Amino acid sequence: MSKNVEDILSDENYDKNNTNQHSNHEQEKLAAHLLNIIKNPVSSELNEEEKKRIWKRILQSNSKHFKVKTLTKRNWIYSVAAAIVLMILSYGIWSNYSYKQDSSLINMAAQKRHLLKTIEKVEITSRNSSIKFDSDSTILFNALDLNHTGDETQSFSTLTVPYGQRSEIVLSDGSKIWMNSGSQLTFPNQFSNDKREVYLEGEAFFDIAHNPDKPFIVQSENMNIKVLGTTFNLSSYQEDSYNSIFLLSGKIELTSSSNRVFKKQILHPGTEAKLSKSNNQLSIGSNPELIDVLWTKKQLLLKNTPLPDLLQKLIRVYNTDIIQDFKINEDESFSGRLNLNDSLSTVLGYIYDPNKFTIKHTEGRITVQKK
Amino acid sequence: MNGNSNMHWHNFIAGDNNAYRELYNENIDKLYSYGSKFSKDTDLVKDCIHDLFVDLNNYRAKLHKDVNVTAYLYLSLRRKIFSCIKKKGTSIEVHNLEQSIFAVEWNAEINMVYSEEWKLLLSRLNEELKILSSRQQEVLFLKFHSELTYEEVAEIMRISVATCRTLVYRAIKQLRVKMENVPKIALFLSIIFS
Repeated sequence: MSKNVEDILSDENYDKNNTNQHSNHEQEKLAAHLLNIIKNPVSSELNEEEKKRIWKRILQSNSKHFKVKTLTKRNWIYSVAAAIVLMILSYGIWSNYSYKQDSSLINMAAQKRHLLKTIEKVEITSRNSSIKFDSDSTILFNALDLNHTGDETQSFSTLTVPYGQRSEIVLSDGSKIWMNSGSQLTFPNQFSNDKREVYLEGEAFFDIAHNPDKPFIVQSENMNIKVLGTTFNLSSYQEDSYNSIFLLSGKIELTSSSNRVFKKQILHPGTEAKLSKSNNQLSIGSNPELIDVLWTKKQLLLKNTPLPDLLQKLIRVYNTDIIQDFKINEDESFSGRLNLNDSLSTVLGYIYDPNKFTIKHTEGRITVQKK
Repeated sequence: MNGNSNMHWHNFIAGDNNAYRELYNENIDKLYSYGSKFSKDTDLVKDCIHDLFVDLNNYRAKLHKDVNVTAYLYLSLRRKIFSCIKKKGTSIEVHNLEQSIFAVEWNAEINMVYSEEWKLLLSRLNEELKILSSRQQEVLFLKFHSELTYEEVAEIMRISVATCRTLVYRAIKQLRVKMENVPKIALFLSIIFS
């Protein structure tokens, strides 16, 4: 037994988790101590927020890459696309329509989900439909597919609104939907005879045309909503820790999607249902401040909103990374109203005192530095 | 852990974006910890990790399915960091880059449970670790902190497995010899733990 430290440690069979610092054997003892030191150097760690930020930037760069490709390969189309909204037509046909309608809607939505990460302009994928631009931001959507019987095939459209943009859409039944940044709505080109069904990823405000014969059903990752004619806001971002629905008028029936289990709820105007993803708790409260719906008017109302939440919202709305070179105070919260028509630098100027902080804007990100 | 990464790697190449995210979540800490040993510039390290994952996505269809995921990620990050530092053209002599920049702070916490003699010995060990060559530090870091196999470490550092073993062996031997030059009494005094 004349093993030296180097023999012990360089042996791949040496049990690194079961070292013996109390060994009587000098070399073994020294080996254990040495291992303890080299195993645990001073390590540099990223906090959760920094990790999320890098990930966000990766996704953004991935979508930028897509844009660059478009630019070089199809220069001629790009100049048009820059002026108007880019439209790519595609279609999805389900021959087994009679099997189950719901699953094909969800399938379609899942299939188009990647567009959220890769598209930088509002995009509609659909078949046989006309799209009109009402003003610069409203899209009038009408399915022309009138001959379509519905028994053999079912076609869907998907509206993708990238980060940094918002859009309004009017469906064929007259329902109006405001889509928030980074959201996606999938819907049939023509509603079936007994119901109107759509799938939402992200956040949208719905103003549903009243029709007692054809309930309107919004499906999302964790919640399904059934209404006759109401106005409500649904937030179902994949990256957020909770999903919420806020009812402004009318009445809605809230059930869980197949991903969740909670009891059916009837919501009344002025109430908000919040589903925490981590503990599957559904809480219902009143929300008289209309915090959630002001985004449709390009306003952000804050009521004791914690700084990290606020920054997350701004990053989404402006599609710009916000980087602080100091540790932010997570307990700090804000109340008031921000006008999102202002530039991000201006908005950050309200949050960070310009006398104490410098705000630097470079491509795709903003850096806040302490003076 | 490794099995997970391999599964995510396969799914990622097959087009699964959740697997992409899992790859990131599982490896970000290790990669950052490794990368930051090359440069004190934390933004540079973050940028390189960012570039690495963007590249993975861009070349997704062309990636090999059967790779050692851990080694592949470490190796790619290492290359990114070298080329980043080169581009920045700082005062570091570029041709000597690989030999000169890997530096670990081996600042072990020497806490109460050691006797005075051991404390002396261990703080001496700390000093000796600091003067190991960059390659020696890196090999020890990858082998013992990142707990990679000799094969993985060799792949990352672009050396043969035999060289890698020798490098580890000699580094530890060097430390051991230095330790034995500390007055013998330090080693022979018994340690009483409370």
